[in-house]
Amino acid sequence: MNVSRDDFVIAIRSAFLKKQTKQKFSLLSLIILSVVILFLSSFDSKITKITRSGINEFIYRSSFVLSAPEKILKNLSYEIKSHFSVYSNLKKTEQELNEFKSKKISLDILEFENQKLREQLDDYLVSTEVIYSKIIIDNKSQYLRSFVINKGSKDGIKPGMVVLDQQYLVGKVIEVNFGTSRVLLMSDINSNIPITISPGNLLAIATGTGQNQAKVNFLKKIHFDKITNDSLVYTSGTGGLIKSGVPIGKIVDFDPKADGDIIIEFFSDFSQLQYVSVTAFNKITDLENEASSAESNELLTGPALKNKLELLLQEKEINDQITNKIKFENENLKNQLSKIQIELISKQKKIEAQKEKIESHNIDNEELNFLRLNLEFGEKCRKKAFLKKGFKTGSPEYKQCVLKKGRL
Amino acid sequence: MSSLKDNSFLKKILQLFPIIILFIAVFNEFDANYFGIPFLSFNFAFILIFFWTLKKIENFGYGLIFVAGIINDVVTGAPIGLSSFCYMLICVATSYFRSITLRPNITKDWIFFLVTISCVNSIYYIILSYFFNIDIDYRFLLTNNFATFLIFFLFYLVFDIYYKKFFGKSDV
Repeated sequence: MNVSRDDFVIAIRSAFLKKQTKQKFSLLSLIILSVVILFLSSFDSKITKITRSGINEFIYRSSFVLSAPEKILKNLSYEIKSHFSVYSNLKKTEQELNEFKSKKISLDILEFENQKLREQLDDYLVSTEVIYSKIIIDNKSQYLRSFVINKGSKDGIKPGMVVLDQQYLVGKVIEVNFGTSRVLLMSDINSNIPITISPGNLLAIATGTGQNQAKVNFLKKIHFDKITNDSLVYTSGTGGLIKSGVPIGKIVDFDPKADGDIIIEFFSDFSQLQYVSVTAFNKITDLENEASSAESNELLTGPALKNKLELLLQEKEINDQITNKIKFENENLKNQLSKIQIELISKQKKIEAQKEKIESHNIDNEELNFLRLNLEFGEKCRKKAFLKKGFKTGSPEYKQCVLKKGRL
Repeated sequence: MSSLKDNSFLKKILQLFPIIILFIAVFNEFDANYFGIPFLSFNFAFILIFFWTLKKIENFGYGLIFVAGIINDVVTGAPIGLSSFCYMLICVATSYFRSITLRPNITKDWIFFLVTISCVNSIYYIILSYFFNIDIDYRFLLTNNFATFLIFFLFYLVFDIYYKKFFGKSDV
């Protein structure tokens, strides 16, 4: 027993300490080094930040270069697939475009109204500056859902900034280096975003599932009946980091009776992202203050006037659109009114004809009833030769008598 | 093939091939699942490190494995030093296994590989969850662990052929 224990100790000691053939470092020293690095990386001192940023920068760039062939192959397969489905996609896109065009004007109006209302509530956030960037590393790890973009602190990127794919929310910046940054996707299980579920205006938190979806958290079961499949999910704006109303996705496979999670399917396909926009949202009042101070300094110089003019032009354009929309709606309403009037007249005519029919039908019924009673009680009512009782046949009194069943 | 072996530069490249593959794997994060099916995700770096350190080839140095770990951490966004620590634990396991094994065979290696990666993945999970407060879905880790174990057999056969071709017979 002692011998086997000794053997074990010798084997372990050999494994940790003995340098193998041509090995420059013992395993124990490398393990200690990795623990020290781990320990240091958990600190947020300036030196570790700079060192980490330098290492990240170098490795991100190297990874971008080395993963180029793989990316080319991936893109090639994707392009081949899209090439074969180009016709069907075109038809679908054309149809969608027509639908979207018709919705665009209404949306512009709603947006304008929404903006005005939010300004009144002092809750209107606008993006200060949009930074467009390219994704350089996107390896879809099973554990951490993130990607690296080619813009860093030198381009004005800061931790916490919001990352969008067109207008859809993708995630937020969690690590910033000099020329690169890491973005945590909404699908990562460490991502928590305040959301609103519409219709119903339900407030909740969207947490990533680690797959290409998120789930709804912190929502009481009593609200489940307000949720349906295809309910839309937007940012709620709680916390003031992200403005409200940024579209995220929709609810899918929802069953209110089941106890499962409420799953959100993202509008943006994270596997096909190539370029994203990074932005930060500030309150409009802050910006207005900045603008007013700038104005007082510059006393409405050329660019300021130009900006104002542009804003006024935009407002005028929206107002024109509203007027056109209202005119269009008025025309529609007029047409509908005339149609309804024509329909009304024709229906009134129909009703008259039907009334006449009903009346004649009622007369027929009365006649039939009289004849039936006449057969039975006519003898009683008819005037006889030697009796005073009875009425002359066909007279109104005779008819009355028959209808009264022979009572004189 | 003999002409290949005579060419010293090519021979050197072929002998360096495992470490080159390791670096390409960590730079491209080769353990990721390319087909979108969770069960197909496997940790290729673990397989490479386990096999080639078990075979104790000269060019597969611990220092280079350590650097590969650092690169892997940066690419995946994990705390720097964590993968290096895990890779070093695999090296310790293979070094121990080599010193206690008299007659190596694929079954023993395969079973020992499962034990090793299970321990290493557990340590990885514990460090991430408890020391860095980074949540990871342990179900992915478990499926990844199992898939890596299953696929190791296939890579073992391929690497063994390569090893016998370019490095001679095992010195275990």
